Amino acid sequence: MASGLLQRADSLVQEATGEEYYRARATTGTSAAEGMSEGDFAAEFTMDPFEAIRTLLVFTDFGLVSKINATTWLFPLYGKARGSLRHRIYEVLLHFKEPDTILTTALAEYRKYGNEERLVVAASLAADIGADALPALRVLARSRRPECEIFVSVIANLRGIRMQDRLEVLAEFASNPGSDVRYSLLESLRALPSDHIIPLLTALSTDEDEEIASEARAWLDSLEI
Amino acid sequence: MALIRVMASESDHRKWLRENSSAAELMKHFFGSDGAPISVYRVTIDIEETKAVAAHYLTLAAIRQSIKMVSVLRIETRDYEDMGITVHETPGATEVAAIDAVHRDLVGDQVTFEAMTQRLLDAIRRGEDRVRLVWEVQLKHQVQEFLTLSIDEMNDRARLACRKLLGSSG
Repeated sequence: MASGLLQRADSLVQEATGEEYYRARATTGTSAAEGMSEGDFAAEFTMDPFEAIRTLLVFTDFGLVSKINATTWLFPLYGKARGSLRHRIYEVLLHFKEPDTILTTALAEYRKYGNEERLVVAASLAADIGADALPALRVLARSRRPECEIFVSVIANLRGIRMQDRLEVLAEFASNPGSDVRYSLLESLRALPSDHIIPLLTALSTDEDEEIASEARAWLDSLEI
Repeated sequence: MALIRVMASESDHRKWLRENSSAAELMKHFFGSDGAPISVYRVTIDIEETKAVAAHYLTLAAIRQSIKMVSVLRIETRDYEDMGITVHETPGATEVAAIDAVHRDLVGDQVTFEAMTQRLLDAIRRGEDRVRLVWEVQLKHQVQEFLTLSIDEMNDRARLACRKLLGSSG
């Protein structure tokens, strides 16, 4: 599923925007016959967001709405939510546990509208999901996209994965064209044991960004290798 | 008093300090182009600023895992007041009551946010102190202080986030 992650993000960017995105496919027919449509959910969320989320949970529990669809509908609403509603949306997205969908939706929204908070919440959810998020994060790392920046520390600290897998994914960031991604890699290496990070530090020590290269060289010198 | 916007990535402060950074790019990355409200805190530029940053850091605990330097953008009234951008009191989500009480939303549109971003960029390039780095030792001190708050002042979820951060930061 993760292999189609970036293509899915690109196709989402091409879709309708804002309110149109949530309402265009709503019909009374889909609501009655198939459970709940995006439009049904959006309309109920506008009136009573907590009740709409409760209903969405019931529908997903009974298999009337897929967790992938539910995640796609709910994720964009996090940004405008405030106070306890924000926590509720987060908890439910975590309950759905769909890391591919979280990443594709976040990337699509960020590319279209910006605001790093969209990536932050996706990164936070991936971190809380843990090892099951690794395949999606690996695809993202291989994409060499600038949005990887916020996910570097997530991979450096992800629970339940082997050090070898962690280092392989982190190595992708050393050749990312974005210097902010490579800077984040340098900072994130501080979380790892020094005997594992020498190859990555060596790669960063010749970085075209002199700030990154000089910090990496100083760090290598301090390790006295 | 100023409004502060906590920036999430380790390298976000660098984006404001590059010669080739444009207001349009910075606006899109930090504020977005869809006119959604921008989450900020209204604080005095002293300890209150550090407390707000530390409380917001609790919401980043999952991605940061441990206490690390974080950068903050300072937005002053003159950066937005004549542009039609408005400030609204809205509840924060840090679950530190005193900080959630100073949470605000900046409300404007793409044009006004880009103009505000240009002013911020100009102010930074002139040498105004608009990007603050809050260091590990300062965050750690404030997170430790949060643990002395009563249940009315900070709930258990935030308390757990404090303990996790301190546990992994030594």
